[in-house]
Amino acid sequence: MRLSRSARVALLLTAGYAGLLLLSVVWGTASIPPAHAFKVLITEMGWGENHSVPELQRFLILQVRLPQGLLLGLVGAALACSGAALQATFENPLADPGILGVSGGASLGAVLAIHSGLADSLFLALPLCACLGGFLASLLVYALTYLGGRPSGPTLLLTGVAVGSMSVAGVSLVMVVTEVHRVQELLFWLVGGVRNQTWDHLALAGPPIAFGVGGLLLLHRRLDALQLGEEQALAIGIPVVWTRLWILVLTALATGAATAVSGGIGFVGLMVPQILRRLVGSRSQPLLVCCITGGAAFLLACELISRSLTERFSLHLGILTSLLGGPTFLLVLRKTRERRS
Amino acid sequence: MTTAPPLLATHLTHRVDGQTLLDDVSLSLAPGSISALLGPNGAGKTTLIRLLAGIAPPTEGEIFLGENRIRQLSRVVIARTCAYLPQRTDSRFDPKVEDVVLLGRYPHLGRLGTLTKNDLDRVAWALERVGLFPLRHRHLATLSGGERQRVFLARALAQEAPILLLDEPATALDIGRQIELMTLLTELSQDGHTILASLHDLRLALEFFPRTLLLDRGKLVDDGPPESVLLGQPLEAAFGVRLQAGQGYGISCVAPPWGVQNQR
Repeated sequence: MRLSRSARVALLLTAGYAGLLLLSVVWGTASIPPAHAFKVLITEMGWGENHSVPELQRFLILQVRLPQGLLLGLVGAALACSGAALQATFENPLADPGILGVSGGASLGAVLAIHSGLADSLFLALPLCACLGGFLASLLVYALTYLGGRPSGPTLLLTGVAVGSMSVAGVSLVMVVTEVHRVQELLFWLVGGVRNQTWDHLALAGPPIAFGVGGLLLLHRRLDALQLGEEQALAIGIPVVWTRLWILVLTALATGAATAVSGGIGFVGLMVPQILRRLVGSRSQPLLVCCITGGAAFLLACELISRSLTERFSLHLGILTSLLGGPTFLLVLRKTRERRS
Repeated sequence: MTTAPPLLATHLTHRVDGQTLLDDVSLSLAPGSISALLGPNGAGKTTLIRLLAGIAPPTEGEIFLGENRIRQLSRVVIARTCAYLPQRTDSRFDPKVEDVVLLGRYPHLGRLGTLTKNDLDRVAWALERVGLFPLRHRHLATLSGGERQRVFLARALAQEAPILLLDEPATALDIGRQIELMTLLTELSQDGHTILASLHDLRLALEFFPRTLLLDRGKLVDDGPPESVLLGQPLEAAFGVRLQAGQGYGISCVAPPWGVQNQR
């Protein structure tokens, strides 16, 4: 049977992610022979016994690199799907959880949870505060945009930028009043990355991201309608206000959980859907499916690039995605203006 | 298709930001009737159509869809009965023609949104009716304004609703496509569809619509067969143009003296 174009793209991206995951396991500051990596993975899956691999390598593979590679995949999928959904929801190809202030709000929520000591005393307080921060930020953007009468794409975007800046200012403020030795810990929320994360973080972020992305997938027809404009969506019977609110909750959940384990990684939600729209079209169902694997592969690839550069420049993952994302934003802006004129 | 319930509006008034867009408009659309909505720019045509389609609730007054008050019905229930065609047909994204038309099936889909053969057949039928079946795989951005307008009309037809509320469906069409559209609307009304379409071309109203409604500055100022509405005093006051009975289309247009325009 001949597969559809989007199915082929999705399969290719899945294979790409799997390949990158293996690469990320064997390659790093301490390089591990691929044969050792395979042996460890096969042993771990219960196929045969093997004790020839040094314990340190086993630890690196199973407790550091594998969970980090999987976590990056999860975060990439969450951000890319949130970006695609927000673009459709607000009928704006420039929307992204970072640009719309969702990530900023989530960072602020997380930093406040750490600073207040809530994160140390209450289990799950950190991711909950991150999700709540993300949701409040997007709700604020939504309310501010819509209270002023008929909303427009640029108003929404600029409101998002303003709310995002306020959140970042909030994060900076918390950092300023924090004792010097803890600043390093908080800096993570501004630049993003997964350097110290473990299986626990994967278990923490997995369920909310799965719920958020799964929910968005269920709403795919509503997303298709919303990207044609509010009037068209209303015309075919979609309760637009409630649907938008639901989509904000789901994206805040996914983005908040992603931010809780990886800090503020920007622009993934802009770049991945933009590239994939070109490959598989703008129907939300295939687009979201491809965003899951595409976002995962993209973020892991960025991490590998950042890993290869870090020895010389110390280029964090979040900084790298922003470096790539800025020019993408400008390109999309240019194309959007061309189409309108 | 289910049979059309009568659509009844009583004393509709709509205000936005202190501006009165509609002022005490009452009308009823009988099942299977076909009516043209005329009026100068800013007269409230779009507002009236949006209210009738239940897109926005009126500030005052009530709309009945059969027995039910429309503000008590859910969006999806309304959409199964009323297909509303908005004026705007552009998109910042670039969907395929058939994907846009497929969205018309939304109110009939189950919770999981799975499509049946019936859905696909109806989409193909709608594309066929507007003459766009050969273009179904094209992307919206590659179409002309008139073709895009027909894509969204097909979306409304795919909705399988017995009441069609069309906001300027003919504006971007050339004369040939306009006449095709009017023939299509006439056929649909013979099948039992209730149709209300706002128009700018008075000749189309005269040729194809047995009933004409005239809005002027938010008020319904005339309602009747086009022969009388087009020659009536309210139309002259609304547009600042006097029409005369004559040859050709039966009516010829006469430019107003400047004084008439200045009074408006």
